[in-house]
Amino acid sequence: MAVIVVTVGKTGRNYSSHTAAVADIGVGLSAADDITLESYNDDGTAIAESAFTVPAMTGSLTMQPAVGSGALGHPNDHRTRGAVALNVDPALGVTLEFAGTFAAMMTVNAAQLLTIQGLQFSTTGSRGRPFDITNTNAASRIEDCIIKQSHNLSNVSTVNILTQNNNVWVSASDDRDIMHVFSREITIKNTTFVNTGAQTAAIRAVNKTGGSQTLTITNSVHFGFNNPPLGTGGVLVLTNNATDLTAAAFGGTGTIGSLVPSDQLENATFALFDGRAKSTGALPDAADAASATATDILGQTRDASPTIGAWEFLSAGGAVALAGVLAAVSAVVGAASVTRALAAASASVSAFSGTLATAGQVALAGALAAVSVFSAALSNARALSGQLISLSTVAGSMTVLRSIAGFIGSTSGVVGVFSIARALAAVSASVSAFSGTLAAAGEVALAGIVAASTVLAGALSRAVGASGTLAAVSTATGTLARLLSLTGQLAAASALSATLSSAGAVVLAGALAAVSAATGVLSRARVLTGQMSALSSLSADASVARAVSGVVAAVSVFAGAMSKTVAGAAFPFVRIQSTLRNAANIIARLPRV
Amino acid sequence: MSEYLVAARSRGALPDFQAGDVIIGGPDGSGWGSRERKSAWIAAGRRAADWPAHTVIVRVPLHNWAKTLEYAGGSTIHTDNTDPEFPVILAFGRFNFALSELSGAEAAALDANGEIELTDDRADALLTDRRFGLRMSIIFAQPQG
Repeated sequence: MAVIVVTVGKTGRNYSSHTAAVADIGVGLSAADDITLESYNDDGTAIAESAFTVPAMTGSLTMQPAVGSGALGHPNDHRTRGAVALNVDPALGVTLEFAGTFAAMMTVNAAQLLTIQGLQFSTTGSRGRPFDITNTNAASRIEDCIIKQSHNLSNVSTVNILTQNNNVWVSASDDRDIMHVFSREITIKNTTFVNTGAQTAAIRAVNKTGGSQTLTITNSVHFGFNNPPLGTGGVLVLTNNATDLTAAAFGGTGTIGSLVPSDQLENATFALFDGRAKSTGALPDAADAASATATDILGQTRDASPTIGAWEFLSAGGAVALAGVLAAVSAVVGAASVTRALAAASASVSAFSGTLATAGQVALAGALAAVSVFSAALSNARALSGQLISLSTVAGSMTVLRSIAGFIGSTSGVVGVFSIARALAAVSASVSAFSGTLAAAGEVALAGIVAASTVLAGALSRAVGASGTLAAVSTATGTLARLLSLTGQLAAASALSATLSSAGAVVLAGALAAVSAATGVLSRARVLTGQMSALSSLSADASVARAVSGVVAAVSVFAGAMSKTVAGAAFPFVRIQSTLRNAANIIARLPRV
Repeated sequence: MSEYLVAARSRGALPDFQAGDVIIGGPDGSGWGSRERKSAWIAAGRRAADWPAHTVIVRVPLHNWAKTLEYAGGSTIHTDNTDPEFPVILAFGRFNFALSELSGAEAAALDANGEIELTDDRADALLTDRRFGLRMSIIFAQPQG
């Protein structure tokens, strides 16, 4: 058994999709090896996947983003996204996208060790779903992933993975659960489940459909489900979850119920989803610390009072955010003056940390504004410094002379008359000392911070603009994907219709022939039935028939005799004729045999 | 133009992956990986003689993208998992190119380059929809109306 690492991405990688990589397991890749698929975000777009099935392996399979960035600089790992919306974003990490219908993107039905970490999954097709994972090794895990299902008829996934931590599931399904599990001890921690569909059926975030094992869901968010998780056949343990149902309807212990999703998440809508907890909501500090995951979906260490859901609202969140600011400052200022710059910036930043600690994300905006103000002040100071330096260097100018004259005027009462030269020397010395102090205290730092501030302001501005654009693109992409899916379905339906029509014509012709034949048979059957009825009636009147037969015979004899008589003797012809007519009438009324 | 990544070898007996199964599709010029396309393998600095030939690329210029998505619909056939405890999973391609029926010239080109270009009609003649067990040329030949 060897450890094999292969790459997946769009530029110069081993495989262009996870579908192709998995298809090679058992062919080009040994199923006995421990295989890691390292994924790259080479162009900022999702990797199109088809339905793929992981074959039975005696080794293990790990799916995770590579460290660093792809070919065009997009980060491979969405967990490095920083303080932006927590949503599937192909520009910020690897996204596996599946447009198939009535199928799962990834199927696993063998007991190998499976690890899925730090990836984004997106399904767009009707009855499409990301996973049908029915069997895995007991140590298998899925964590730190964002999974989004955009079709309103998205289907339920089966996720029989025992450890599921820090995932975000967002679905627009009208009528299906997020996931089913069965016959496993499943533990789900700090996961954010959100459904935005119409809830036209009873839906749940998690539905355990069978088996006597325990399903444990802890510190998780359940918004948009009209029913609580279900643990059919086994034990259901719900602790410290948050829901928009009433706490009584949801059940469990420590449940925070009757929440309004838009009050709890930065954005609870599907298109602009942002799964981060609002600082003003009930989720921060509400999780059970003993059972919470050590880190959140972005890898941030959870604090002593952890947050319910995948993302941790850090009570020291401001400091963490400011660490990012400092890092940005460091990158901009450069190595030479970084130490002094950061020392000065650090002192200033620490002054903001208290505010940031209590106000979190909102405070970050405030902190940035404060930094901006601080930067402006420092910029002014720098300008003053420049002016003073100018004073020193252009002492012969009229401005300087006026300043010096003023200075001399203000000091002449005390020190008497000084020569201009001495005044100049003193001013020059003061300016020099002040300039040196400024240089030591933060001139370079100010330059760095101002530059950083400018860069940050530009980046924030672009981010705000890009956010709107991305939202629009996301909406348009979703619409296009649905249109493409619909077009495919229509084409398939058309082909099927043609086939059915053709087949239907053949079948109809056969059916018509059969009906015609059956009609003939039925017709004949009806005639036979009539005949049988007549026969039956005739049989019942056998004596009558026999009598009539005798009459006929008698009439025949009589007719013969009469014929002879008429021919040979004088017999009243009229009487004979009447008798024959009567006999003929009797015969005519007899049923035909 | 569409391109299909096609398995060149069977992974196991049916219902496992078979030679000719369509793994996935992509638009013209798709950035196939070094283990997927022979030219990418060589571009990565590997010897042509070492090309593992586990997959081939089939290019069909007249296949539009919707058709490609349909043909590349998956390497797995599922039933809808209304009963997820007992899903029906058939792990082989929904669509399969009959690589064994390539002409001598076509097969030679495939061996030499690891990829081949087919006309629309030729592709449909070689492509089987496993759901119906029919070649696409037969399916498309059904009378309309």
